Amino acid sequence: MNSTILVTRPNYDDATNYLYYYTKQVIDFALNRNIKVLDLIRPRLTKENFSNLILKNDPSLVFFNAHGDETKIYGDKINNKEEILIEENKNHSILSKRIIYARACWAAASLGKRCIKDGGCFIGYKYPFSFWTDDRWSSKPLNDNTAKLFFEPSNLIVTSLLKGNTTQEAFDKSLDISKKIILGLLKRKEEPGTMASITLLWNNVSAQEILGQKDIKFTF
Amino acid sequence: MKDKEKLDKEIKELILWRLEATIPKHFKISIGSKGTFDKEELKKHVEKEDEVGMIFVNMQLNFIKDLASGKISEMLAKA
Repeated sequence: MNSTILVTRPNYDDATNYLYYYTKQVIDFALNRNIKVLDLIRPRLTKENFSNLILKNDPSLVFFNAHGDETKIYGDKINNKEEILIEENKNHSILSKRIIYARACWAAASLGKRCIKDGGCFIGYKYPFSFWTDDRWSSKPLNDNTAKLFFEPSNLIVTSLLKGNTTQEAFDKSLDISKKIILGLLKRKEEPGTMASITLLWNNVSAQEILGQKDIKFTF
Repeated sequence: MKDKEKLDKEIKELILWRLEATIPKHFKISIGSKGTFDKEELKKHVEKEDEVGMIFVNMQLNFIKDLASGKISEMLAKA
C-alpha cells in the first residue's frame, strides 16, 4: 500500500459542483505536504481509469465525493448517465484494506460494511450527507459561508488523516468541530437560517459512521 | 418513519411550520442525487409526501426527537 490519496471529483450538478470546489482545499493541503494525489476529474473520471489507478498505484486512502446509495458510489455523468464506480458484490473488494472516506449519501449503510470485511476502514454516512447552500453565492461556492459550515467538518476527516491521525481520531475531530459549529450557531440562533443549519448539521453528525479498523493511519 | 407510511396530519403541520419559520428564501438544500431544493420546492414535496418530502420530514423528526430526549444537549456538553 502506498502513501497516496485517490480523490474523485465529479462536477455535473449543484451538489457535485460544491463538492468539487471544497475538495480542492483538501487536495491543496495534501500537495503542500508533498503527498501524492491522484485527482480524478472529467474527462479522466471513469470507472476504467479509477480501477486502473487503484491497481497501479495501490493508494492507502480513497476519498469519494459523489452521489451514492446503500450499495453504490457513483463517478461522473457520462452520456447523460451517472457511472457507477463501486458496487457492492461486484467490485467493492478493490477497496479492501484501504482507508475510505465516502462523502456520499447512504454508502455506510451497506456498501461500507462489505468493503471492510477483509480489513481497512470505511468512514461515510448511513443516511444522506446533506447541506444548505446560499443561492446568492452559488457561483462562488468557496465564499458561501452557509455551505462552509458543512464542508469544514467533512474536509477535516481527510486533513486529519493526512496529518497522521488514526481513523478514529480523524472521525472524532470531525464530530468535535461539528459540535463546536452547532454551539457557535446557537449563540446567534436569531439570525435567519441558523436553526435550519443546526438541524442539518445534527443530521450529518447522526449519519456519520466509522466501520472497520479504527486504529490505522495513512502512512507517509 | 418509512416513506410509504401516511404522515400524521399534526406532524405534517409542524414540519411545514418549521420549514416556513426557519428557512430563508435564498437557502437551498442539497440532498445527494435527489437534487437541490429551495423553500417553495421543499414545501411542495412535503405536501405531496413524496420521497424528497419524506427525507426532509425524517431529518426534522430526527432532530426534534434528539432535542427532546436530551441527546443533543448531552453531546454538546461534551464539546
